Amino acid sequence: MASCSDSLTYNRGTEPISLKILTQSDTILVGNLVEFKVEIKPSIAYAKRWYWILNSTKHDTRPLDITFTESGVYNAAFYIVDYLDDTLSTDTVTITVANTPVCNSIELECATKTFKWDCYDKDGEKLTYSLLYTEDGKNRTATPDTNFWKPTPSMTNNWRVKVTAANRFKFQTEISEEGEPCP
Amino acid sequence: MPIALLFLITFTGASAAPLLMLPLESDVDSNISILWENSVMQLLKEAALEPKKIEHGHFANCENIECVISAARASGAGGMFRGRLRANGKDSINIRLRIDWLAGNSSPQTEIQSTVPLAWDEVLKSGIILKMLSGITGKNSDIEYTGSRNSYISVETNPEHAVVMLNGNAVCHSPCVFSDSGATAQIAAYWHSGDHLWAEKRAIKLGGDTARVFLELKRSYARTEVRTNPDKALVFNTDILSVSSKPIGKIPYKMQGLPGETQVRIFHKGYNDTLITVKIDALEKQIQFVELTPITDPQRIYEQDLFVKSRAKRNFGLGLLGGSAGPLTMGIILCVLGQDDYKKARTLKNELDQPWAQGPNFKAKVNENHKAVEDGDFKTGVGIGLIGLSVLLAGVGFSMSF
Repeated sequence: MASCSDSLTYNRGTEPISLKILTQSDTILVGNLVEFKVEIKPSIAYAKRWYWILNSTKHDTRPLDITFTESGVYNAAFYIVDYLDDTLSTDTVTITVANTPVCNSIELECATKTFKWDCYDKDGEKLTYSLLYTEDGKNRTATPDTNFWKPTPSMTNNWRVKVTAANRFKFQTEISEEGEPCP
Repeated sequence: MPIALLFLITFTGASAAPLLMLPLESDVDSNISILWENSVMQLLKEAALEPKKIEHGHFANCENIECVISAARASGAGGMFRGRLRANGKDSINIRLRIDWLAGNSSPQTEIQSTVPLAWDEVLKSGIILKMLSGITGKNSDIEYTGSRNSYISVETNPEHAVVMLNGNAVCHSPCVFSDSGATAQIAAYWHSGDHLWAEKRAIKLGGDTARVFLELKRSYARTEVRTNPDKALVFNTDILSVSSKPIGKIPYKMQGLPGETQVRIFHKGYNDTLITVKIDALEKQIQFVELTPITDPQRIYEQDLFVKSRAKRNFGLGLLGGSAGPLTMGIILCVLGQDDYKKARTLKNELDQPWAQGPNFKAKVNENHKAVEDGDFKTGVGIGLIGLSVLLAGVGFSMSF
C-alpha cells in the first residue's frame, strides 16, 4: 500500500520556472536608450501573464526598450504569473540617468590674477574640478574645490588653462582658454 | 328436524369429499395428544369419513380459522375437524371436538365436549372415544351432546362482510345464518382494514326461533395483556423451542390482533415451557395471568441450563455476525473515500509535474497533495483494518451461531 501511495506523492521532480535578467545596473546620460532583456526557462508558455515594472509603471513588452529623457534613478524588474497565480520576479536592475555638467566660460581676472569659471550641474549635483595650466611649455595641475584658481607664482608668459568639471557620476565637461599675462 | 337426521343427511351428502383434520390443540403431554389424534383418525376412517390430516400451515395464506374453513370449502372438502385437549386437574382432560360441515352453502357445526380420564388405558376401557365420535358424526350416538337443541342465528352488520364469531369462534362472514345449541350465545363481529379494527358484540338468549342480530361496528382497541409469575418471561410462537427460536416479545406482552384465540409459548429460565391459549376479545382490553411452574427435575434443569447457554451463545454469535456488518460497511466506505483521496492526489501530482514559479500557491498544492496521500493512506489502512475486523467478527459469530 505504501509503495502505491508513494507514486502519488509529489517530490519536486520538475525544474521550476527560472528568470535571469540580462540587463546590468548602469548609469547613463539623459537621452540614452536602455534595452531591458530577460531569459525565461524553460519557456514563456508556462506564464499566464508577464510584465515589467519600471518605477511603479507596468510595461508588457519584451524586451523593453526605454529612452530616458529625464535624470533620475530608475528601478526595473521582470515579473511572470503562472497558472497557479504564483508570481516570480527577477532581481531589480537600477538605471541611474544623469546630465553632464555645463560650463559656460572661463576668464582671467587681472586685478587679482585669478582664473574664474562658470560651471554648474543641471541636477544640482556638486561638481569637482581638475585644472591643467600651461605656461612657457610647463604644465601645472590643480584640483580646486571652488570655481576659481590663482596660479603661484603669477604668470609672466602666455598661458593656457583647461578646466574639467565632473559630477559624482564622472560625467565631465571641459572648458579651456588661453591668453597673455596681465599688464 | 331431529338433529340425528340432519347429521345423517349432511354426512351422506359429504361422503365423497374428504374430512380435513387439523392437529389437536393441546396443553397436555404430547404423547397423550398423539394417542388421541391417532385414535380419532382411525375411528373417522372406520366411519368412512375419509379423514385427511393437514397441518396448521396447510392453507398458508390464512391467518384465522374462518379463512381456513373458507379455503377448505373452496378446496372441495366435506368438512373440517378440529379439537382441543385441556388439562383438568391431575387426572383428567377437558376435550372438545368440532366438525364444520362444508358440503352445503352454510356451515352447520357439530360439537361435543366432555371430561375424560388422563390415563390412556382408562380412556380405552371407558369407550369414550367412540361415544364422542358418534356424538359428533351422528353415527351410533349413545351419549348426550350439545347439538341437540339447535337454534338459528341470523347476523347482519354494518359494514357488511364482517367476520362473525359465535362464543369466540369465527363462523361466517356477515350477513349469515348459523345454528347453535346453547341457551345463550355470545355473538361478536369484527371487520379490519389492515391497521384498524372495528368490532361489536352482544349476548343473546336462544329460543326455538331464529334470533336476528344487527351489529353496528365501532373502532376497537381490544387487546389481551399476558402477565406471568414470575415476570420477564419470553414469549415465543407455538413451535417447539430450539436455540434458533426467536422471541416475539417479553412479558408483560400485549397481544393485539383479530378477535379469537391464539396460542403462544412462554419461556422462563427455571420454569416449564408453557403453551397458553390467549383469547382476544372483540372489544375489551383483557389481562391474562399465567402462573409458571418451576422445574424440579435436576435433569431438566440441567437441560434447560444447557439450552439457555446454547441460546445465549448463538445470540451472541448472531450479534457478532450482525455486528460485523457495521465495520464492513465503514471499512468499505473508508476504502472508497481513501481511493477518492488517492485520485485527488494523482490529479494534483499530474498538475504539479510541470514547471511552476513555485510560489505559495504551488506550495499549498504540494501540501494538499501530501495531505491527500496521507488521508488516503489513513482511510485505506483503517478501512482494511475494519474489513479485517468484520471478517474476524463474522467468522467468530458464524462459528458460534451454527
